[in-house]
Amino acid sequence: MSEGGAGDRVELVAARLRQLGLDHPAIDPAETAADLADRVAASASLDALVARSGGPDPTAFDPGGPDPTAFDPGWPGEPPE
Amino acid sequence: MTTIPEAARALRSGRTTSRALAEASLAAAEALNGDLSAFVVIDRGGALEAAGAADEAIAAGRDLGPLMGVPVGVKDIVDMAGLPTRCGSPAYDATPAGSDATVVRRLRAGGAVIVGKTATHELACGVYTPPVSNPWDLSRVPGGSSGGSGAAVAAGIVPMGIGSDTGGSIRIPASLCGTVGLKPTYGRVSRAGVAALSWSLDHLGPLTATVEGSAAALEVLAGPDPQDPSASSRPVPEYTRGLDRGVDGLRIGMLRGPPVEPVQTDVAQTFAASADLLGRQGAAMVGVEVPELEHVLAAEFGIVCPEAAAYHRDLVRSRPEQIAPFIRTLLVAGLMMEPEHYFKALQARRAIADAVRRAFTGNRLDALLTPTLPATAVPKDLDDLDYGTCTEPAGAAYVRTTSPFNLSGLPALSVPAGFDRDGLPIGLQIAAAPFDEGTALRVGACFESVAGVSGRRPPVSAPVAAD
Repeated sequence: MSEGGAGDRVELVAARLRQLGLDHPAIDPAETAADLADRVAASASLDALVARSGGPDPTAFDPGGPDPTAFDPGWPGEPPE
Repeated sequence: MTTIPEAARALRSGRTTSRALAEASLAAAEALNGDLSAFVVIDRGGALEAAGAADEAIAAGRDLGPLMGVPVGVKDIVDMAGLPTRCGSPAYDATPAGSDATVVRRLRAGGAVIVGKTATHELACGVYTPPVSNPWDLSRVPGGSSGGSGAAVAAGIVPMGIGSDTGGSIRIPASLCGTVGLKPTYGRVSRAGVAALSWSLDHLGPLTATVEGSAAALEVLAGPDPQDPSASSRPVPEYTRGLDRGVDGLRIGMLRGPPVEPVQTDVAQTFAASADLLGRQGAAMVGVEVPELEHVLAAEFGIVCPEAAAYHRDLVRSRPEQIAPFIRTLLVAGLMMEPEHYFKALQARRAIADAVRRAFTGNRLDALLTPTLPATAVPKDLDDLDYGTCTEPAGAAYVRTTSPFNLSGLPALSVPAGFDRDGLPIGLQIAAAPFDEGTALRVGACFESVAGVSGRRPPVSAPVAAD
């Protein structure tokens, strides 16, 4: 990416930080932009794994409780609780 | 300080009192905290009051369970009524918690004597826990984020400390400090009243001196809780029963490939010797590879980042300057990233959990072994581990072997397995099927009984109480 492109990306991040109420001297837009790029790359590294696994539904909802992220570690075929 | 089983026997036989145990624990905490910084609060008054009540119960012939009269520590992300929950963060004020977390209620109902609150890495988000020191070498980290509990148990100040584990935060300090650490199955222990890092990955569990102590602690801590919708209603077994059954007839996998490579040479040799030892006890040892585990760090942080950001969203907006830079960066990213990245990480987690399940069922495994960590305790002023052929940030290295069992939710136990050339502890990780903590503990107890590693005491430790 050209220097201008990197600068544009930092500007976009700075605008997004302001939009989210995160414009604060302790939060540096350039550092944030670099960190976000790393995390997006890490996320992209999961594409093949997710595709190979058929894109499983990660949001299975348990109507028994309000925790939106409750994860059931049980294995299929196990007796119910 | 004695172990939980030793304390229980001494209390019931009248050879000691809970007050004597509490006094010894408090004295050790006060004497060693200058070196270790393991405790952020030492609650002398509360401990002696609880010890007095335990002694009354014993005198009256009441048995409140295996922790009755036993001194314990509680990680400072867990609410205790009347004491502040500071989470290792300057952003949390000194306002006392209004009520006990469920695990604290269970400890108190079981007659445990809470000596104080143990240090945590800031917001339970890190593997170093400054300023806590490792009792085996004060210049090295104790691990984290439950580093205070690890140091306190290793030093013999308390025989049990409560920890939390989102990517390894019980097992990391257990391995680096030479204690037993148990991350139970997701949902086995209630998290109500505990500050979250990542709702779908957080677990609570004990750090103890022995495997039997870990089993005893889990009997007290586990169980359903209407205040935590993720808490399982499955019955709680008597984990201390059957610990002496050995491993003859069990099939135990040895994880190879990612994410257990690279590891330090001494760690690799200790792991091979540990697997060989279990094989000689009659277990069928099976090499296992799970290629999907190459992606554990991307999946782990892809989930922790947005969940932690959602939990701390007010803090990161109002007082970001009070958050350590590494954690602040993570929280800001969690608020900035698009939802697709979070849901993709959740999808990857399902794929990884399925792959681990297939490894168990396809190989008919009862348990799965890994080195708990690729490396021993890093010096406080060093961020990178050197494997000889490559280097790796310690913050990533300490999570890649433990986080597979946060992502899959499976129970995983770390037991002391040996020492490296510098005399630093090395841990062996034993994972089992969902809600089968009993098998992990059984394998761990067998290993502990033949390995001859447990019982060695670090240079900085409490005096051993004479019976």
